[in-house]
Amino acid sequence: MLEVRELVCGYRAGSPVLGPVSFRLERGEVLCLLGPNGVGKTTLLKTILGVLPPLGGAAMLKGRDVGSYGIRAFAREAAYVPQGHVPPFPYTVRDVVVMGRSPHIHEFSSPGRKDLRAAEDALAELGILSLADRDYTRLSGGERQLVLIARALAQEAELLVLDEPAAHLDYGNEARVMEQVKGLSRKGYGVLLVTHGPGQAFLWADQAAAVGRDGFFAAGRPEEVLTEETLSRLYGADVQLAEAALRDGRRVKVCVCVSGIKEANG
Amino acid sequence: MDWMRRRRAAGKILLLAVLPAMAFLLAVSVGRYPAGIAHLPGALHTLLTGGELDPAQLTLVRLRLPRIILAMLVGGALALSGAAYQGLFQNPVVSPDLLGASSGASFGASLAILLGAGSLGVQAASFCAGVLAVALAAGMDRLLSRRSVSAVHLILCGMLVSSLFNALLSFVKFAADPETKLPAITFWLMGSFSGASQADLRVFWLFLPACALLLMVRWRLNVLAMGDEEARMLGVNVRASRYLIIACATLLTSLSVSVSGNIGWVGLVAPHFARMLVGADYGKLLPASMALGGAFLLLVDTAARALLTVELPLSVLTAVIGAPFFFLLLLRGKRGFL
Repeated sequence: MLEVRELVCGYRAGSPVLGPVSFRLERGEVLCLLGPNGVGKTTLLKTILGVLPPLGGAAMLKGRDVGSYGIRAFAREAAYVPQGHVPPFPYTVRDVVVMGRSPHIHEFSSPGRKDLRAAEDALAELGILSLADRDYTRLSGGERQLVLIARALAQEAELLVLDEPAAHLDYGNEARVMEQVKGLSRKGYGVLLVTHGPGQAFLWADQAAAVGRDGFFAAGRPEEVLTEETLSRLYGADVQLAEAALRDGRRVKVCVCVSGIKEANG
Repeated sequence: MDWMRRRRAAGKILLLAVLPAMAFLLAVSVGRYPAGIAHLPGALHTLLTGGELDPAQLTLVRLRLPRIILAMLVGGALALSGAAYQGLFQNPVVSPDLLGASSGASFGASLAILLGAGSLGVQAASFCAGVLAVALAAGMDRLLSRRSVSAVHLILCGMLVSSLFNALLSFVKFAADPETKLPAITFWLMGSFSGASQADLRVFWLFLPACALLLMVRWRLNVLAMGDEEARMLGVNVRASRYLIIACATLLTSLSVSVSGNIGWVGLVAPHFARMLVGADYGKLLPASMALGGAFLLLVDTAARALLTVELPLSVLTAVIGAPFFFLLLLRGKRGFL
């Protein structure tokens, strides 16, 4: 559903921040985007979301260039989930989730019964309907992140783009959020998410894309892309992988950053 | 749980309807000439049938009613603009003079007074200068940020234009005759409805479309309050929405200043009081702000003409009543309503 072809991103023509990058994301897949701080992951997201014009190449959503969509039409196809933030006003959870209906509501109109229903369905789908009347600004970080995901569901867009959904979350909340994200992909959503944890990619993702400095880019199955060598190069650190056997018999890769200094022959 | 919530919500909506109605009753009944609500049906009947009005009815129709209507309109409009700006600029301490509308309108009025214009001339000059000031700020913002849609430039340009018009206002005061023109300008700026007449009600036809437009986009203000980038990703054309809201708020603020002078606090206090009552959702907040703003300014104006034998300036009273009231709101308010 999302095809990124030789995409070059940046804020000014002539000084690209990153690229060219190419990858494909299908319905039902989770793609984790990894890379060090400041490499331009956010710039890439903005370009894919049509906020920034590409400096080269193209991002195609459902076969159409993302730049050719109108603002409303695009919001019906792709939903963006920002990091859990605190708005300046004490909205209830219901207020926040109904905002996801915005691209389906006429500019001069307010949400109707159908939109309120869609918001409740989205909350129920993530198992947080009990939060509906709580004050959004006073939720925990994990709950806020789930509410923003519910808002994206209410938007009824098939592509979900999440910016570090597990940032600032505790151990359990991280797993709960990622479990829900994985569940959504099984229901047919395409999920593109930025993460700082290679372990998350091994556990939850179907694909991984790694963006490094000096124009490095690789995409594919997590086990193929995220090798010790690539990860060490990506983060400029000594990253080692181990395999762990879970009680249910599954074997998963575990990623450990042993040292912040990359060994010369590591 | 559910029925309790619904009962509480119904109580709040009742309060929002009762408060303006009570303010109206009080304002009609209070005054130096003994005319009251009892004379109102008779006055309306005489007006419709085309008979002769007796003195009490005349007082109501010519003086008290226009003043009441104007006070409610201005209070409602200022509260509406303030609430809209707070959402648009994602900042709960913003008031409707943010982009220079009040400064511009004040300058326009004082210049017209200096040049010896009549009351219509003063109103027109004030309104035009208010609109001009905000147009200037918006134009400068466009030059600065061709590509980005950030509101920071706009706010800075508003501050610039405000201080420029304040300086021009000071110059007009400096140049005015200290025996005649200067007091006239000073009193005008302090705000009053004492000169309100039936003719002033013509501004209603400008208030109406601007208020209606703002009320129509009220739900969208929620989305805009989440920030520019997020609003865009939720399918909102941020730039177009912002200009529409600014245009309406500017029209309302300039119009308010032009008919009543500079009245602070309403545009800040009323939205907060409304937010405490009905919550942050702009779908309910905007109508609630308007009702409370209208009631508040009407009560203040009634106090202004009834408290002492001389008329008190409105801006003095709104601040003297508004500041302690606002502190009370902060004290009693639920945590996080601000």
